[in-house]
Amino acid sequence: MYRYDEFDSGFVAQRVAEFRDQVDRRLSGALDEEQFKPLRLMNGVYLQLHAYMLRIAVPYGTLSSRQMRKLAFIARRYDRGYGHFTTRQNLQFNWPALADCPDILSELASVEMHAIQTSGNCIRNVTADHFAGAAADEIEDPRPYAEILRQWSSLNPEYSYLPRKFKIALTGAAKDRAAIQVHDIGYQLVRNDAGEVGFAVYVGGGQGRTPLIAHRIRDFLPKADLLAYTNAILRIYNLEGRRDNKYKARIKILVHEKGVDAIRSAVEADFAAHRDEELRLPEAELARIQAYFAPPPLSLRPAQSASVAARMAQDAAFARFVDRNVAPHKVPGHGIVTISLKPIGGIPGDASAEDMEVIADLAETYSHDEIRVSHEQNLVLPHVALDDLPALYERLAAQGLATANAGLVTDIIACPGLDYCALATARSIPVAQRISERFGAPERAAEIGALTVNISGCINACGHHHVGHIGILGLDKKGVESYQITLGGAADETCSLGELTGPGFSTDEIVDAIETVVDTYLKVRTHKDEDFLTAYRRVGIVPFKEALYGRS
Amino acid sequence: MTKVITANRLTDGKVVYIAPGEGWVEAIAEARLFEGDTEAEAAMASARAYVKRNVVVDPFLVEVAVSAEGPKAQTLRNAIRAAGPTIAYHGRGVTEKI
Repeated sequence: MYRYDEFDSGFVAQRVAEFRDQVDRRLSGALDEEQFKPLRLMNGVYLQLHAYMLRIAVPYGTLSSRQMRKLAFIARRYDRGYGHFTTRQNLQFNWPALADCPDILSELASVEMHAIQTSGNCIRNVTADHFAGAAADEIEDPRPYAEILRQWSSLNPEYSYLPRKFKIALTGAAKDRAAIQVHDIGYQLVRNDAGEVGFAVYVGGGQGRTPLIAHRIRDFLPKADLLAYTNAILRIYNLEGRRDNKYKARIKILVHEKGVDAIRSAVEADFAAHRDEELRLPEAELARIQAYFAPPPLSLRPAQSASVAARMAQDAAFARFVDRNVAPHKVPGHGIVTISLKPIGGIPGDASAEDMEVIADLAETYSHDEIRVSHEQNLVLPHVALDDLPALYERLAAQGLATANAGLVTDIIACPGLDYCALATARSIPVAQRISERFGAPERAAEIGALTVNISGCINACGHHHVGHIGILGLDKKGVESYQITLGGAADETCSLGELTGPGFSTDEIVDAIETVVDTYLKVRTHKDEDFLTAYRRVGIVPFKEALYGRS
Repeated sequence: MTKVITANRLTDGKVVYIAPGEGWVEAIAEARLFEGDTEAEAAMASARAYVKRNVVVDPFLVEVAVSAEGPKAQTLRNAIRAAGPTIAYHGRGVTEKI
């Protein structure tokens, strides 16, 4: 893992001291709310419906056990004993007092964490494939590049007041687990015809009220040019992005309005003019950062585990867990374990302090001290020996953390919605809970197969509804919650935006409507291996519309 | 329409309501009720004075229906603000049905 050097530590400590002074001045009245609000937002402190909310960055979704224990400590000491993992690999506390926030940030700094740039019109937490450094299908670990981008973008004065927020995601594999095509910039590590590794560059994706899929503006960018090219994109955006209308201020709108060819030309021209200036990555510096992400010393093991096979043969629940929640590791005899934060009927992404501590212990024992946060709001142990799966499973099950539903209909992404969020127009979590309960029987969820249900409580789309195979958008219709359904969205390398089925459904109707959609899929699929998205792309929306609204 | 005045307390962000006497209370049941727009607007001036004194932030008026059970906010958003999340989050039961 990356470790702070003296510069990093001093930088974060100085920032905590600065914010402590700002909070003191706010509480004493030396600053009024108008003056203070942008300062607190720059430190991740929002004011939501019931309380302040603190959003903490988990850079590229990577946590150590020590860091996770600190989050558990903060949850207990300063909050209400739990935290919420978000769709941008962050952690949110829902109840901190403003007066405590400097102490919380100080605690975070002690484990090399912070909340800088988790809000505001700046470059936000850089996210990455949660299987990075472990996935069998990976070309190269994208996290060193994410770390380089993080260092370069942190408090970068040129990009502290962009037209709007700016989100970057990276993946090291052809399989996109980081939703790069719905980010402002998406970088995918690729190999060119000469066998060199570099980046394919995607620009102008995003969700929100105007969902747009990113355009691939460059097929191959040499690694050394990562910052120079990112800088070129940001310079064009900073100059030409709209500042007159916050709803048209994201780079996706600029790309959409000017056209991808014009943007590509502008970026390439700026890149060509400045390529060989100070932002070219020196090989030695790249190697220094990469050394922090060196793979753990995993012992050589047989590709198959006899003890796992034996247990699977006699324990159906364990077999389901291995089938759903264990992904292939690049080192034979190891697996990547998804710890679902979606217990049946639970709150997607919530983890109690006890959960965090158990997971920290398990990461230390079984996963070389590493934990990942996924944008699907789950946690991941990336380096587990297959032979350890039975013991790991037992301990997860004892804590209620062994739900075997990764990628199934009950693995629902949901934003906090109107239960917490000041922007929301409808509740998300109770809908997620009821859908989870409806499809909670493991046999039924297994029969349905791979299916993502994503729920947002307003058009800002934090719950990624546009890219759910089934998306649900909660709106306020004359004072009553109403839920629209979109179908056919995907956040992976086949990225697509869901299509609206028609008029919305009431809170009483929405779960039945989702069941109608699922039942329709089961009827139209050619065989069990044709998953929801494949079947939808083959038959289109009509059979689903007819099932939901009748034939017109 | 009867109204109450709500805000978030500066120090901890908690939802508070203008009390019948001085200051603010956390329970909407204990909030001061304002009948008619004139009285409510006059009270908003007092709420803004609390903002200036750095006691609360973002005060606003909330329409309520008053029954034997006390004042009840008329929009879902304000009802959730008054009662807390409608879900059984960690360590807490479900709020009474809103």
